Amino acid sequence: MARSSTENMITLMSSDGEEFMVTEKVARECTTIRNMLEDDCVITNIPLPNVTSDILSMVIEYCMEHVAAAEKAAAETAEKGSSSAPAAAKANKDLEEWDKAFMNVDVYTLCDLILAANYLNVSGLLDLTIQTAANLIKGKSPEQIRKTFHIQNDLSLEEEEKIRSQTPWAFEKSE
Amino acid sequence: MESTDSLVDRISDLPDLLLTDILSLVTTKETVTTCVLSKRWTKLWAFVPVLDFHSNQFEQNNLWLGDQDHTKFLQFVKGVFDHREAIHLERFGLSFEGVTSRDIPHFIEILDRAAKCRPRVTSIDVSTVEYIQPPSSIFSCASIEEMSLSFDAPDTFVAPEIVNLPSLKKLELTCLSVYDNFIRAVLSGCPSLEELVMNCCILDIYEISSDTLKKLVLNMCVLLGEVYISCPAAVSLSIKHPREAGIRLNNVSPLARADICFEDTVLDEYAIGIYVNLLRDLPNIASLRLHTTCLALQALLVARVPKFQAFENLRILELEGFDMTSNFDLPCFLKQAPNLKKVILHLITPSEEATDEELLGNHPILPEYIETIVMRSEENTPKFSYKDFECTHVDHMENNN
Repeated sequence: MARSSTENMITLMSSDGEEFMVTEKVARECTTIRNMLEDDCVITNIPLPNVTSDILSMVIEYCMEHVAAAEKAAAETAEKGSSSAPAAAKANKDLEEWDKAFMNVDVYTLCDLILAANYLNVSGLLDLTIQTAANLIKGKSPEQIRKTFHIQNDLSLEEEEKIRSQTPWAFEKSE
Repeated sequence: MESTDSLVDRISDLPDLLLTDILSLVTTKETVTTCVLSKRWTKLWAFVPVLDFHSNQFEQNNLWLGDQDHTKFLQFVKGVFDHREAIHLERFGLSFEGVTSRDIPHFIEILDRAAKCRPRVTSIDVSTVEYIQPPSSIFSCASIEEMSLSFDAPDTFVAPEIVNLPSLKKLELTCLSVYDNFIRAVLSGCPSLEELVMNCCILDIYEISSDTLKKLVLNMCVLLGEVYISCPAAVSLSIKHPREAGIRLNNVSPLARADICFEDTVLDEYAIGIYVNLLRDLPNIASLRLHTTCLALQALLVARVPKFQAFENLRILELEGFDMTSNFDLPCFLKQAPNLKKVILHLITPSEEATDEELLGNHPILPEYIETIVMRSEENTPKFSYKDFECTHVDHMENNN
């Protein structure tokens, strides 16, 4: 279904001054924006001082994809009276694949996306990015985690030794 | 690594709440080791609202069940409880393999301490050869909304006498022996219980009677005697592969949805009897899904169903595994459902030589009042040229015959 031209457009402005025109439906995927629109329904221009243009464009890309998937599923249900289970399962799998590909970013961008998803309150994107970060921690030694996220170890050898000796139960022998 | 940005530590800039959210998704052992990453991380693990302990992360090698040394694991769990902040738990999970008699007091202490942290979701997964009764603290914990209990040998679980879980909404029991007094204690002591799932349990119970239960799932349970189900608020009932004795429905809401599934191709007479009796007791069901590939059962259904009281409320019928290409008399079956609106047929993969005409010809001489017929076939069965065929008016189907 083509989007009706009468649909409200909202302009989102990133911290670096770039403007993004999106449909109200896409903007409403961000609970923070939805709340603003509900408080003041004539608002059409929303400055987002906490989100840079490159991250904002990714958040919008995510919201558009998920809105389109939901619209497609709704249209199919309306057309056929019920959604067919295999088709719905395939659509879900496709969206999962899309999410997975979308998460193919460096850790710096990933962390910025977590912050933006949290600030804009896009629960699906927040869950996705948090899970992706957790997957990068799973099964890794502290040294491997530092390397993955470029964490500078500012603990002195003595301090680290002290932590390890105070919590011997936390560490298996030498790691 | 295209940009220099990607070499900068960004994760440590995230606020504490987001970092603890991330750490909530890894096991507690992994969470705790982040304390040596850098100064930023030394205290974070203690604020994570999830505890998820797995004894198998501490095993040196595979020893016989009951012979394992869990000293390291138990020291770890104790250390975490001693040093973490007093944050209420969103989730507590304990997976304890090979619990020995020496471990039992520790096991009980762990659950006592967990109950004090007011968990919302609790899952306990134990393998043991000992008899273990989880402490009363965990069965009288006001904060628990979802609980799952899993033992790998049914009789090792010793049920508590008193259950008092006022917030419990969902209970999942896996591989336990469930006796009458326990199920009564659960159903009377959990006034908010909406969902009861029993997987691979041995049920030595007389009835499941609850005014609050909305969903009941019995999956691969062994029934030592007939079980009467009386759940007037139930909207969903799923019975899959019951063994031994029968299930009788006493009082099920007219809105209920039932999902009944016997996967075995060959069933003994006794099992067939269970199935047929179940259907007989279902007359006020609104939505029914039947799944069986047993031809003997299908034949008996055709013979018996016309003698049943009519399925007055049945609106949606879904059949899976039934051999529509042979002599399963669907119309005779449907006569018993005068208010049926929708039929969903899962077509089994046809034999190579069957033609489309044969397949289609055997399908629907269906009553006119049925509004929707949905046919589904497995994917990749090219023989079905009308794959996923859907029809909104039955005349169209009849014209095709």
